[in-house]
Parts: sequence; C-alpha cells; structure tokens
Amino acid sequence: MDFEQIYTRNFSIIAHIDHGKSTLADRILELTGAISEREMKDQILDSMDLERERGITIKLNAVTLSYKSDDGHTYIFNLIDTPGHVDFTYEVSRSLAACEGAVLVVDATQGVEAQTLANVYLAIDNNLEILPVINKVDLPSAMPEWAREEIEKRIGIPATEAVEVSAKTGFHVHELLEAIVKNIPAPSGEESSPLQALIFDSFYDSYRGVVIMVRIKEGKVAVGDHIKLMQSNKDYVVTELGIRTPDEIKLKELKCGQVGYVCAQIKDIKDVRPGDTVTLFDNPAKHALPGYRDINPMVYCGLYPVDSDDYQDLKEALEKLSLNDASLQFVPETSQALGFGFRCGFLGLLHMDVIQERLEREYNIDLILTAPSVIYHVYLTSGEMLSIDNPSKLPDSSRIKSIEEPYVKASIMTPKEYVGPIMELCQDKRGIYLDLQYFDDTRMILVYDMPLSEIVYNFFDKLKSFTKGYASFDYEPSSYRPNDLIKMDVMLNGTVVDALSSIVYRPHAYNRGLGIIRRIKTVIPRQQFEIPIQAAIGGKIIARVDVKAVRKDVLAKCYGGDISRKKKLLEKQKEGKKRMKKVGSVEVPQEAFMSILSIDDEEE
Amino acid sequence: MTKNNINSLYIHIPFCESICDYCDFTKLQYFRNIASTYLEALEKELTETVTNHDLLTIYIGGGTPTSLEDDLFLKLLQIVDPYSKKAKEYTIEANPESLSVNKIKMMKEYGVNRVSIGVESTDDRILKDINRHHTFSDVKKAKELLELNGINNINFDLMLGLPNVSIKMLQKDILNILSLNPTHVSCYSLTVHEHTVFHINKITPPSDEFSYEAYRIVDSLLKKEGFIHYEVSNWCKPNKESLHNLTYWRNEPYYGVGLGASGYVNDVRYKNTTNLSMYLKGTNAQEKEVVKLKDLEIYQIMLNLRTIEGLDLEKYHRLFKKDLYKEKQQIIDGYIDSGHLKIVKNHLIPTFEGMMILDKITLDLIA
Repeated sequence: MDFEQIYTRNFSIIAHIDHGKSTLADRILELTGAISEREMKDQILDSMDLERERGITIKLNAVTLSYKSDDGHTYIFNLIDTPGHVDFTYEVSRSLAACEGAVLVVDATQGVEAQTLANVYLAIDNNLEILPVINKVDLPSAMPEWAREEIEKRIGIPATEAVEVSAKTGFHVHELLEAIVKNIPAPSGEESSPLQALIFDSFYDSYRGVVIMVRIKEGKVAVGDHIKLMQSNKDYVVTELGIRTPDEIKLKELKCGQVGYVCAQIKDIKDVRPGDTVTLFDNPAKHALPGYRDINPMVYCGLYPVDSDDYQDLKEALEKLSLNDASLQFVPETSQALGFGFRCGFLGLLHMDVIQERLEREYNIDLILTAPSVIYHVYLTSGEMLSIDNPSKLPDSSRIKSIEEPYVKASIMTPKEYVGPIMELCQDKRGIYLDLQYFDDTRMILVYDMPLSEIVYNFFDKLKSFTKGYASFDYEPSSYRPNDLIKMDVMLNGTVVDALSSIVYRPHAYNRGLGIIRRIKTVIPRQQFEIPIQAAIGGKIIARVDVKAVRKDVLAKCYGGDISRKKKLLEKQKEGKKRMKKVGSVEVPQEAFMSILSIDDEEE
Repeated sequence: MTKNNINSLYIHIPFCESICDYCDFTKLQYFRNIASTYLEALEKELTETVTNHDLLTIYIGGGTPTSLEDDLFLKLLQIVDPYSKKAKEYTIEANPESLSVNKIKMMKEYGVNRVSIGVESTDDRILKDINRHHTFSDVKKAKELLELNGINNINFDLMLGLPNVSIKMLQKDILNILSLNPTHVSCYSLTVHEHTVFHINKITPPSDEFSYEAYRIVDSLLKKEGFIHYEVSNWCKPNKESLHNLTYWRNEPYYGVGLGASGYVNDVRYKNTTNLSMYLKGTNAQEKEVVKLKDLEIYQIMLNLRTIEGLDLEKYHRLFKKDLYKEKQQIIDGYIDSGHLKIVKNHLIPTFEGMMILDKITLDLIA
C-alpha cells in the first residue's frame, strides 16, 4: 500500500451499545476488500470472545484499509475502534485524538443516547469532523427523519446530509464511504518535523514484546530509530513497524498521518501509556502531544482462588492479563478468611467483571471476589495520609483524624417522568445536586456529584429498576471529600471475617449492616449449630441475624436401589462443597463475599 | 472386596391392586396373565443368579406381593422355597386388605416368619384421601390373623407428613400402632416424587422442621414402650431388627431379583431393568456400578452411620488404611460436641439428633 497523505482518512465510529457499530465496521471492512467474507467472524474488530459475547468493545483495535473511491483515487482508511463503556472514557478520548473524523452512528429507531452524546463531545473536544449516519433504516420501525432531527437538536450538528444506511444489509454503506472521503479531512503534519506519534493502544506479544499502536502526528519513524516515550521517559530502538489490515504488513517507516504499529523490545506494558507521545531520542519534539493523563484504577477488590492450590496459577494468569492491560494492577494480599490472594485495581466495575470472567473462563480458576472498594484517603492524627483500598486495612479509629472518599461527577440522562425517583435515588446515595437540564422535549440530564463507593455499591441496578432501563449514565472522577466514614465488620459465629469488612457512611451503617447480614444469611448453608451473623462497628454489634441450626437432613428410606442413587447425589454435593470456603467452623459459599453489593438498603 | 458369602435375597413383585398417590416404586396394575408370566421370568432369574441356597434373609417386597391371587401367591412361595430352608428371617410385604387367611396359612407353611404391613396412617379419612383401600380395622384384623397363625414378628409402616396430618394426629397414629403390640415400626417422612399423583397435585412435602418434630415424637413415644431406634426410620423391640435390612446398612452383598430390583454381588451394584416386557422376555439390561475401593469407602460411611451399630473405625482402618477419626477430627469432634455423634468402643455412632442430619454428616465426612 502506498502512502499519500492527502488520500488518507483517519476515523472512528461512535455509537451507543447495540446501535450497530461493529456491524457497520464489518460492512466497511467487506467493502474495502480488507478481508473476504469467508474469513470474517462476526464483528472482527471485537477480537476477544468476551467482547463478542457481550457486544462491547473493550480493547481498542485499528485497521488500515484501502478504498477505491468513485473519484478514481484509492484512499487509505484507518478505522480506529473505540471501547464502548464508561470505564474507558480516557482510552476513547485518546483513540479519538488519533483521528480527524468520527462516524456517528444513530439508530433510526432509538435516536441519540446519553453515552453517544458523551463520546460525541469527546470527539468535538478533539476537533474531529463528525459524520452522522442513520443506521437500521431497514427496520420497519425506523424513523430516519426523526433521527435526523434528534441529531440536529441534541447534538447541534447539521444532519440533512446524514447517510441513511443499514449496516445489517449493507444498504448505502458505499455512500457512507464516499462521504468519508468527501467530508473527513486528510491528516495534516509535516514529514520533516520532529517525530510526534500518539500512542492510543498497545498489546503484548510474547515474541516482540509490547506492540504499540500509534498515529503519527508529525515527522516519521523508521526501523532502527532510537525512540523515546515522553511521559514515561523510556527509550528504545524500533525493531519492527507496519500497518494492520488486519494482517500485519511490515513497513520500513511510518510517516505523519499514518496509523500503524511499532515494536521496540518493550518488556513492560506499564511503560507504554495511552496518550503518551513517541518521539525520536536524538531529535525530540519540543512538546508532548496534549491530553495525556495518568490512568489509575478506581475500584479495588480482593481476588482469591477458591482452591488455595490455585494461587500460583492465579498469579501467572494475572501476570499474563496485565501484559496486555496496563490498567490492571495487582499486589499479593492475605486474608484470614480467604488465605492468599491479590488485591487488584480496576478502572471500573465492568473492567473488574471482564477480568474476573477471563480468569475463570480462559484460565479455569474458580475465584472468590471480595466486594469492590474505592480508595479512601485516611488522614491520621500523626498528620500522615494513607491511601486505603482494602477496608480491613483501615487503622484503628483512635488513630484516624478524618477520612475522605472519592466523588465522581455523574450525568444521568433520563425520560423526564423518572427525574423524581432518580433525584431521590441520588439523594439516598449521598449525591450532591449540580445541575438539571432539558435535553429535549422528553428527556432531561441530571448531574450529581456522588461518592464513587455508592456507585460501586448498587447504583446501576437501582437506576435500571427505577427507570425501567430507560436512563443512561456516565461518570468521571471529580474530587475527594471528607465524610463521616467508619469501618463495619461482619462476624460469622463470633469471628470477624476480614473479607467482609466495608467502609460505610455512619448514618447508613445500620441499614447497610442489616442488609448485608440478611443477604449473607440467605447463602450460608445451615450447620448443625446456630450461626449468628453480626454487623459490628468498632467491636459494637449493631445488627444480628441467625442461621438456624439444621435439624433434619436425611434420606428417610435407604434400601436396595436407593443406595446407589444416594451415593451419586453425595458425590455431586461433594463437588459443590469444594467451592466453599471454611471460615472458622462455618462454610461460606463464594457469593457471600459479594453480598455487600447485591443488597437492598431498605429495611424490611 | 466382598468375597464373603451372599446371605440375603430381595425379590420384587411389581404388582398392586391399585396405585397409591405417593408411590414411586416399580409397580404396575395387577393382571393375572402378566403376573403369571412374571413369576416364570422371576424363577428363571433366580436359578440363573442365586447360587447360594442357604440364605439367611429373604425379603419379598413390592409393589404388593399379596396382590397376587392365591394360586400365584403359592407359586411365588414355591419358587422361593429352595432358597429359604435356612433363612432366619423371611419377610413378605403386605397390604392389610389383601392379607387373607389363605395367604397367611401359605406363608406359615413356607417358612415366612415376618410380615411388613403398609399402614401409612391409622386415620380412615386420611387413608381414603391418599387412595389407600384399607381402614385401620383392616390392620387390626390382619394383625390378629397373623398372630393366630403363628406369625408374630410384624412390622408396621407409617408415613409422616401426609397432607392434613397434624402432630396430634400423628401421636394418635403411634398410639394406635402401639395398641397392636408390634415388634417393629418404620416411619418415613413423605417425599414427593416426580410422576406421582402427589407431584401432579403439587402436594408439598413436610418441612424439615415438621419432619424433625414428627420423628422426635415418634421416637419418644416408641422409646417409652421399650423400642430401640436402631436406624434412621426404624424402631424395634430388642432383637427384632430387620436382619435383611441390616444387610444393606452393613454394606454387605445381597441378591436382588425381579423387575427393577437392585443387588450387590461380586463388587458390583446393579439395578435390573424396569421395562416389564423386556424383563418378561428375559432381557434384563442392568445398570451397573463397579464398586471400587474409593466407592466402597463412601458406601461404608454413608450406610454404616445409618444404624446405632455405627461405623467401626478399626474395620474402616483395616479396609481403607486410613484413620478416619484422625483425618476428620475437627469435624467429628464438632459433631460429638454438638451431640450428633458419639464414639463407643471405637465405633462412630449417630445419636437421634445425628440420625436426623445424617446426610449432612456423611457429606462432611466424605468431602
């Protein structure tokens, strides 16, 4: 593929989940002859099984395509995929920064959604040309004219020329490609300038080390060049570079405007941060590219193998996963209740879910997760400040002067009839009201400053049930605020179970405590003795429920044929028992450790 | 592993005059010509599989063995006769209404010395509700007839937790049974099996709390009258344990013949086909489990703990080269402290409370 800057178009696709981004990407790939239909799995850009299953994109991917336009020229398209979830906003913004334009997909039956809006604003912030597309026009319920209005009214960009397509049938996708050629600007930049390449993604390859995905903004880079990563301040020598179509094609150099991959024997993916700028060591750019931000985990939880023999396997699996995922952090930790495991940091709950599922599915490790925690800033009387990501590590209250917790700015878009219930929910969740605006005739946007811990807790589920799923939700970190926070312990049969401790807002402690222990009660199998489950603060019991002793658990008739049947059943139950943790004399199933999340606050 | 002699034989008679609403045993409506052919197939199986003629216990169960007409009933006894000469215990299950003088006389003649009567309830209204066709007075009559003819070792089966039976009614049941001066009482809490009328009618089985209460009351009433609670669901006067059933719980081998019958022979636990036409044709496709040492270990714990003989720890050690107490000390001590188990003369023995949660204890010991 020959590179010519003026015949290059770099773009992303922005869409709400289910609005057909991946399907559209597939059609584009087909029409540009990137891959034959035969080779296509569904939605090739989402390369992880998990992504395909959930219909979401977690890791970014980029692909270089060639398109012969109606104007007779052959264009190079770089299609950069963006992850579609609130946990990954920063990554989205970096991949958008690698483009000149964005195709905005709006579902002709659904209109503009909150998440789409958030990403459109990210695109606008990055000075991208927005190319609206109305998808799913093949559906009988499609209302393309209404969708057009939606785009104009809500996003405020002209939509009269928006192409009506059906990604599913391929209808008008050719017209869309022509619009991309016509409307998305060619990349700027000077080949002779010092190198500035934006890192928007990376992955680990066991032979070549970290493979960096870059967009060359200025200058050029070639095999053998001595490069430097400006933020992490590390330098390397380029061993290989090229483009992905999606098959890799090795090139000698990448020039400004191009999107491609670079290998430089980089061992640690943590050195390669999205948003960082690659420059030449000997002829560095004056400035790094703007917009770089350190990304840090927001949510932490303990990960323990159900079978303690799996500890080493878990360690290796986490190491492997983190090779490809710079935002996954983990350090060993020990729990009295759960034994040896790891405290892991995630960007958000989805990220946590994804990692958990991958560990269980790809690495076959049965896991116990403790309830997720945020990072608390704990100010000690000594003047020292501790960052606490594990509630059981909170120092004795006598040593604590104050505790601050992270807040996020939460934007909720909702049909207006739900504004009341949502405001109530947000207030219950200790939200601080910031703003309420009409989005259009029927929908409003509510903005609250809310403790992240409340979001982690069960905000999503509540929001969903309060609004029948019609509200959408987005958040970004805002600040730390001091609050009346205390550690609440859970005692099983008189013993504190460290893995069940949580940090709670004192005025909510009783209800929260009762909710947790009631929930635990439903999952703890009965024993031959009564098991008290207690919630305690500083050694003082605030709530208690009891798991009654089992009095009758026996097969009454055991003769002849009953005998083999009973044994088979016992063997099955034996397998189930393996998935429980013994805490003192009490058997605790996996789900008990997550019960902090799945409870209702309301006292019955 | 089970090289010792096989001393027990179970024979299944799958016919009933009518089908009870809760029953999930292998059973069929009685038809004379089928029953007749069945006995031929049974005889064939007996001669082919049962090599030991000096059996110590024989148990003819069902279904309802006494549902056979007199001539067929006689034929059944004749078929079994060659095996019963040395039997110390020879039991036949019976319904009160089908225990005729004729049949009882035949039993006596052929050496049957124990009868197990399905009473289920002593309340005639309840009996009617569950589609049983006898009354309590039938039970009394049957019992008198048996004794009159010299069969004194009688078991009465009672069901706990039938719909609309209160604890108070249950007490009455036990007192009624006791008035018959039985040697043996079995009480089973109701289980609602699939493919039964109870299941179709969505009858709920008794709660664990109710069952526990029911067993506790049965136990205390029977103990007062000198009964021993020797197995989870069985009580007897001293030395009147069902020797045949002890075979099961001692994890000893036994023959099982007849439709759907189970046996345990030469380290194989098998179950005969439940397909009548196949069985009648002599095609008996068995389900088989080869009992390996690790299976034997589970069976040993699961079965031995059902009775007050308990699990012989020394024998266990000999068989499996393991010290169960040492390996499960925390668990066993826990159950001893909570009053569910005791160790007497190196036997691990369940208490009443222990028997009531035996499934849990077993699971804890094998897991």
